[in-house]
Amino acid sequence: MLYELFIEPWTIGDWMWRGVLVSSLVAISCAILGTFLYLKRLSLLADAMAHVALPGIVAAYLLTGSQSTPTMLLGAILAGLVTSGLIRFVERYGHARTDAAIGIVFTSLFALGILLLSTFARDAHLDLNCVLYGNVLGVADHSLILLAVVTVAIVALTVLFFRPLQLATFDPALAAAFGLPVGLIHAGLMGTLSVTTVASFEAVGAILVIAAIITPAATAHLIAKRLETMLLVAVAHGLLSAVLGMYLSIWLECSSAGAMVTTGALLYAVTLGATWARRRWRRAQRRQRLQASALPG
Amino acid sequence: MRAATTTPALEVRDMTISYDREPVVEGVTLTIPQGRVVGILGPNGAGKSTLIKGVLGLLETDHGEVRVFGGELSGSRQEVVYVPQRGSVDWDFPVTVKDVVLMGRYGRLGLFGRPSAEDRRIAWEAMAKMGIEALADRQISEMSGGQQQRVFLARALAQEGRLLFMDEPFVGVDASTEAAIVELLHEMRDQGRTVVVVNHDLQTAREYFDELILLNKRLIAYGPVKQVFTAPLLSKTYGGRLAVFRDHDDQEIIVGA
Repeated sequence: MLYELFIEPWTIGDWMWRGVLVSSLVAISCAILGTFLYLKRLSLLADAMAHVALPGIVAAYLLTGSQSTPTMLLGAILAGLVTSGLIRFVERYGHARTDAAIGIVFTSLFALGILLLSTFARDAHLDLNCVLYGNVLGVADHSLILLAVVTVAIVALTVLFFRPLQLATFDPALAAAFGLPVGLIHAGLMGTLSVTTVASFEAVGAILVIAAIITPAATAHLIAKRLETMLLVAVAHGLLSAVLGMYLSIWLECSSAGAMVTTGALLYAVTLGATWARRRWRRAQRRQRLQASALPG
Repeated sequence: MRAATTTPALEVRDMTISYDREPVVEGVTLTIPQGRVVGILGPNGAGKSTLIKGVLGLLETDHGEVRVFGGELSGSRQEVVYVPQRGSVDWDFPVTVKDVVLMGRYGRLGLFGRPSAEDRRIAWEAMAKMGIEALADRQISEMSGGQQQRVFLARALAQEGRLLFMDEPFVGVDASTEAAIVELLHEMRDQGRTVVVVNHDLQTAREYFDELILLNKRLIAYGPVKQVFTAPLLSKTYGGRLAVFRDHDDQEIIVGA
């Protein structure tokens, strides 16, 4: 019974190995980036990057006439970079708040993508279903390699530049006063976010990559009191959601991306409940202590 | 190389800063000597914070020249310390008190450096000085307003600079923290350091500062408290939003808006 549930999937071909590898890579890179976005209050950017991949892909097809995966990836990545630039522009010259600027820019570009798709690019035959929901088991080798390179790069950069990243996220003004390249750090974050989103959504889809970025960070923020811990907890949450989600999708024979996001959301709910209970218990204990000390003898 | 004590700590020439082409700070020229505690006073929207951000190069200026200890600001980054308003950072950030104070040393570490035992010792001393060693391992979200300000000041101390800019350090802190900050200001002055403090409490200005900058977009006056803290200059700075009374000892009591 246990063997069938937990071990057997690993023994039938390489698809379980491949699925867990792909979703773990997505989980690690998205959780790390998500932590920095969460702390910068820019979680909505994940949504933006996931959506502008569509106009990026369509534009790449219209410009080159090619429908090869590398062309599409490049188009989507460039679209992400253009988006972060446009958001800055609208914030600065339109005096819009960041959330509004993000909302205006990505919905406009997404709509433009749909417009192009239904007029000039009608013969593109884009598999919208795949773009939106992804398929962990349908990830091609070159996408897997891209995902692996991106993940290793993100982990290495985070470890190497941990202190400057921490300072630039917590107190950008002080970081700038120290002469740290705050603008470059932000641009680097946007660039890796764009690449990660695009590399990930072949596996989990454009919509669900958003969950992979936001939920682990939100869960980790509930319990971590240092950035190091928050990053580790977020990665752990992502990995746990990925592996448990894979099993769930096998047992229920459902979409693996859907199962992973549902698992992640459940883990968030459990953590939220636990922190709430812990706070109440602590408060009750403190009250007891106070009462005990107020009573003489 | 240490600059001679006769070199001014800060020289600002003709600084103008605008938001949306609307000048917020206009044509400010100042020379502040070393070893002073200088308060910047002015009504809301007078450009007090903007001026220090402009001086520190954190904002784009229309024009203006800044010299620190006789040289370019970029050459004295280690010497210049900025203590932003408490509200400028997210106090729910997952970081401990100790780590925030240690950030004061990051300016010397560059992109790749790691804090040494010496850096940690300096951070520890700064915490002791501000009376927050016991809180070292707590997350900053647990701090009260006064404790938050002590954390910021410990971080500033750990930077070991000779020219400090503090933006509203007295806002929302308890009386004992306020006293501790004032003591720190005077101690720094006695060590020959220069502290420029944005403040908006007129009542305490006379006790706390050696010199005052009166600012309302333009520089109204700069000089020793005795010469500058006068009813005509203050009402020029605050416009109609100021009332001057005289008590029975013929002391001026000034109530600002």
